Amino acid sequence: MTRLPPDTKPRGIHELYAEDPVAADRKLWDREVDPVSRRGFLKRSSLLAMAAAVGGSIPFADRMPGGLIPAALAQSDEPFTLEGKEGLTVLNDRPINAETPAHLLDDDITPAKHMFVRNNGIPPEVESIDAETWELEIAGESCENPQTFTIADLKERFEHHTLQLQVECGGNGRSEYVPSASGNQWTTGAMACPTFTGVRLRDVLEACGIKDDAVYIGYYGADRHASGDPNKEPISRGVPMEKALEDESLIAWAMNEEDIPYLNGHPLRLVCGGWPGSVSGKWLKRIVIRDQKHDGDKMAAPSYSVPKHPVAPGSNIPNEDFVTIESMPVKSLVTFPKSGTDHALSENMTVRGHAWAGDLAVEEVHVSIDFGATWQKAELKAPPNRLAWQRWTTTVEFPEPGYYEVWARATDEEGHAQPMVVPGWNPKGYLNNACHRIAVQVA
Amino acid sequence: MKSLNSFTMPTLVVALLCLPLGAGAQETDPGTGLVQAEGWETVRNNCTACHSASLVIQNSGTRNHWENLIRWMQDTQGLWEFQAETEETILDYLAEYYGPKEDTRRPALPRTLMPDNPYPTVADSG
Repeated sequence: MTRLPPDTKPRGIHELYAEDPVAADRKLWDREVDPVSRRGFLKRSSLLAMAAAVGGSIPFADRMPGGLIPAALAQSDEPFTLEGKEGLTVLNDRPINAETPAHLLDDDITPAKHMFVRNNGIPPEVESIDAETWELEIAGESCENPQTFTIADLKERFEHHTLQLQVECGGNGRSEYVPSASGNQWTTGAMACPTFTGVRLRDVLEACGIKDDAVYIGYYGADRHASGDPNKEPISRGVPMEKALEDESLIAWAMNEEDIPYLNGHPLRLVCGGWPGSVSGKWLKRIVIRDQKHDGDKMAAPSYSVPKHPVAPGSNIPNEDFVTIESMPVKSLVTFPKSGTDHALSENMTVRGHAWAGDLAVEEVHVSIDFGATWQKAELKAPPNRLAWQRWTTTVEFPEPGYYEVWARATDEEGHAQPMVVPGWNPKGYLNNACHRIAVQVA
Repeated sequence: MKSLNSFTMPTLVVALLCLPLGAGAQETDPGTGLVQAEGWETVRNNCTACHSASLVIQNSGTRNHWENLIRWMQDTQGLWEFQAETEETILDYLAEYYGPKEDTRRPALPRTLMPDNPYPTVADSG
C-alpha cells in the first residue's frame, strides 16, 4: 500500500471534538456559528455537510450549539465515517471524497458500506429527495420524442435487469504519480463492484426515439457546484451511443437489492460499467441524446482525459492534445490478507483478490512473492456477467522467514498486463494500474 | 522532531537557521490541518470556500503548479481574483510547505538522460 498523506488518517470524531470542539466543527463541516448566540450555522454548506453525515435534515439547526457532536454520530467510537459507510478513508470532507482500504474490498459483491464516495459537487439535500416524485427527463437535439418518467414509470414500462458492475474513479491511483497531479490523492480504493438493478438505458432511449444523427448521450444530476453557484454544473458527462446502447448500461434505482446509498446517487443513477465512474451520473435527473460529443462540465480536456500520445513526466500539454478516457485499463487488487500481516513459515498462505479490465475480460492473474522475479498463476473465475470483476485465488509458500511483498498482476484478453511500476505519467494523474502489493512478515 | 525553541546553544541555533524553512518541525492548525506558518490564514480564508483544506493538504507541487491551479479555479470554478500581494502570500506558502513530492516506486529518469521534450515542463517554468 502506498503511504497516506499524514492528514488523511482516520480520526475518531470524539478525538476531534475533545481536542477542540470549535475546530472540530470547522474541520468536519466547515461550521461557524452565530458569533453572539454561539448557535446555528453561518454557512448553508456546513449545515448540508452535517445533514449529509447524519443522513437527514436538521430542522432546529439554527438552535444547535456550536461544538456539539451530532448524537447520531456520538454513539460510535469508530473513526469518523460517513452515513452508511464503514472503514473508508476520508480524503476530503467538502466535497465528500472517501476511499476503501483494499482488505475491505474482499467481498465478491461490494457492500454499500464499503463503496467509495467521489463527489465533484455538493449532493442534493437529503430532504429534497423523494423517490415517489423523482422524475427523469429524456431530451436532447437527437431525441425524437422527449419524455419524462417517474421511477415508478420506469419500473412499470421496462424490463428489469440486475447486473454486477465495476465502478472505478478515473483518478484511482493518482497519489503515485510524480510530479504529482492535482486532485484527490486516491491510492487504490476508488473501486467497487456491487450489483445494480434498473432498466436498460437503451430501452428507455429507444422508447423516446433516437435520431439517426445521435452520437453521444449526456447526463445531468441534482447535485450542485462546489462553489454554490446555481449557474454552474458540478459535472455533466456521458458516453458515445455505442456504449450507451450496450446491454449492461443501466438506469438503476437499487444497489445490492436495496436503495442506492445517498452518497452514491439515491434515488436514481446511471451505471456504465468499466469506464471512469464519472460517466455514471448520480442523482440522475436528465439524459440528453446529442448530435455531437456531449459538452457538459468535465467533458472537455483535461478533465477525464489523457495525452493522445505518451509524454515525458511533468509536461504541460495543450488541451487539443488530449483524448477523453473511455474504457479503464486492466487492474487487480489483493484483498486478502490485509497488508502488514504476520504469517507462520510452516503454513502456506491463501492469497486472493479481484481483477478487472474495463470493457474487456481478464485472461490471467499471476502472483509474485519475490519482487517480480518469478510468477505463479492464480486460479481465476469467470465474471458473473460482463463488466463485473473476477475473483482470483492462489496459495503461496514462503521458502524462509523474512519480509515479503505479494504482488498481483492481471492480464486482459488482449494481452495487456499491469505494469510493475507506475505507468505513463499524465497531467491529471489518471489510469494508474500499477500492480497492487501487500507486505507480509514470515516468522 | 524537536522544535526550534528547544535549542539554546548559539551554534545550534545558527546551524538550524541555515536549514530550509520547510525542514523544521511544523505545527499544524487543528481546525484545517494546514501548516501554521506565514500565510496560512490567508490560504485558509481564500482557499476553503468551495472545498475543505484537505484538498490542499493532500496535494503538492511547484509554485508554477499551484499558480496554474489557481488560474484554472479562477477561469472555470468561480474563484475570485486575488490582489497581487495576497497571491504572492498564497503561492509562497504553498510552494514552501506543499512543494513538489519526489517519492515514488521508480523515479523518472534524470533530466540528463531525457530526450528533448516537444512540450514545456512544469520544472522549466516553476
